[in-house]
Amino acid sequence: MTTPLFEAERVTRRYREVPVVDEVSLTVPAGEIVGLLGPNGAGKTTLIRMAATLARPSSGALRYRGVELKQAVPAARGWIGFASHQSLLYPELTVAENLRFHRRLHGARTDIGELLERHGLAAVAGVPARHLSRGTAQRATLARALLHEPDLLLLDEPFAGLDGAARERLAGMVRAARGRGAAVLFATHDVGRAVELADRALVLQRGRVVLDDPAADPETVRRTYDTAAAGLPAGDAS
Amino acid sequence: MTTFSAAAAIAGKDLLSEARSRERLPAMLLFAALVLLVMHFAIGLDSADRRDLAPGVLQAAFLFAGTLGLYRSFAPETEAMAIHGLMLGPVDRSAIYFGKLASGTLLLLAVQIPVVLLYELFFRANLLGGQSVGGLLLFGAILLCFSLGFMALGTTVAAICAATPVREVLLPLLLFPLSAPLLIAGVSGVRAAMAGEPVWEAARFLVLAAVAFVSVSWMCFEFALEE
Repeated sequence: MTTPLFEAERVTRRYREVPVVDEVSLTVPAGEIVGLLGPNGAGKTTLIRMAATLARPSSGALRYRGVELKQAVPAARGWIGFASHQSLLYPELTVAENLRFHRRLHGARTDIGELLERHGLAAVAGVPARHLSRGTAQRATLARALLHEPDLLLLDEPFAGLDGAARERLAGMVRAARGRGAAVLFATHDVGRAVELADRALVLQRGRVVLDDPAADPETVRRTYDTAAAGLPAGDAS
Repeated sequence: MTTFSAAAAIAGKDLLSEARSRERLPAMLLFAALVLLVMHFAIGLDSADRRDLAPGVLQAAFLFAGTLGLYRSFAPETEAMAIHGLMLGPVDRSAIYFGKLASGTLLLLAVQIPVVLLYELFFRANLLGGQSVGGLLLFGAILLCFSLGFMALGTTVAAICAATPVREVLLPLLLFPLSAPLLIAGVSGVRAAMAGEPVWEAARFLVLAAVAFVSVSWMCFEFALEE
């Protein structure tokens, strides 16, 4: 059996003794897109942040390529690409300067000109990030997250605030990442988008996994999501 | 990438950001100059205590200017959560600390040089004229170690405060008491320089304090960053 690219085993994160993520286990193999769904406060962002090494679990184990997180950092961070609804760009620096800075930080050899072209950013290369529109900033964010060709792409609400064309472009980039063998874990409220894009769907409710559907069946996922959003026990989904 | 080259990249990025926005340096410089000007008149031109009080005024000007710079040191990181991009770099997080420390220290040094010249003008301190070349170098070392020690503490304290809604209040409340040893040694060094006496004692204390503050703050920084 192949080692999963990312693995969480009974991971819990507590804030002031309240579990926000509660004994969640999941595996993400290479070349799979996993959609993480749930209402506000379900624990999606916290789970993604822990996977991105931005927060520590209170208990449980996180593994990258079978290696415990504690042993794998800081090298593991080079395998991860992270993007959220916030741009993570320096507002005073231009798009090209932001990308050059992150290329240096990651020790990557990516051709920035080619990267800008690929993400449709060549025209705004010299524009400070502060002056970018939401959709363009999100493209720049994705370019930053992908410039070192990460094996694990973590996206937190990546579709928030994007128009239809920008969403399609983003979905294309996610599929392209899967195409080159990367694993993708993305959190979203958008059930339709999740089942369309994901190979597998997980629904979280109050920090716990209430559905792990390897087929991402739209009907099952929607029903479970609605039940979770209504705050009903998971069993009421059926 | 090594910690050193990552720190250099982060410091370079900070200085480029500052060159574009001009948010920190002009404000720090102006504020330090205003402190000198206000105290110049507040102490009184004919006061017998003027020479005794002047070294404290200079150090207070540095302290306030440095604090003003620290208020905005994490602003570019938190505005669009760019700090997450830094934290995801495959390098030791010490690089973030040393990068921030380097850029903060350089900015404070850039403020100190014109402020010392203004101080000479306002307080007729004879800081620079009354010293040998060796004495001037030691006085330079005093300024450098004060900046380094203050920014070493300030970088970690600013990282803690950046995540709180009351950072403007919290930063000086935490930082000023911790900076007291630097302030006392700085005042003693400037007083000795003004009297044309050797500044060696103060310089030695500031070197030790800077090394201690850098070490302790560096150890605490990663926890401050994550939580």
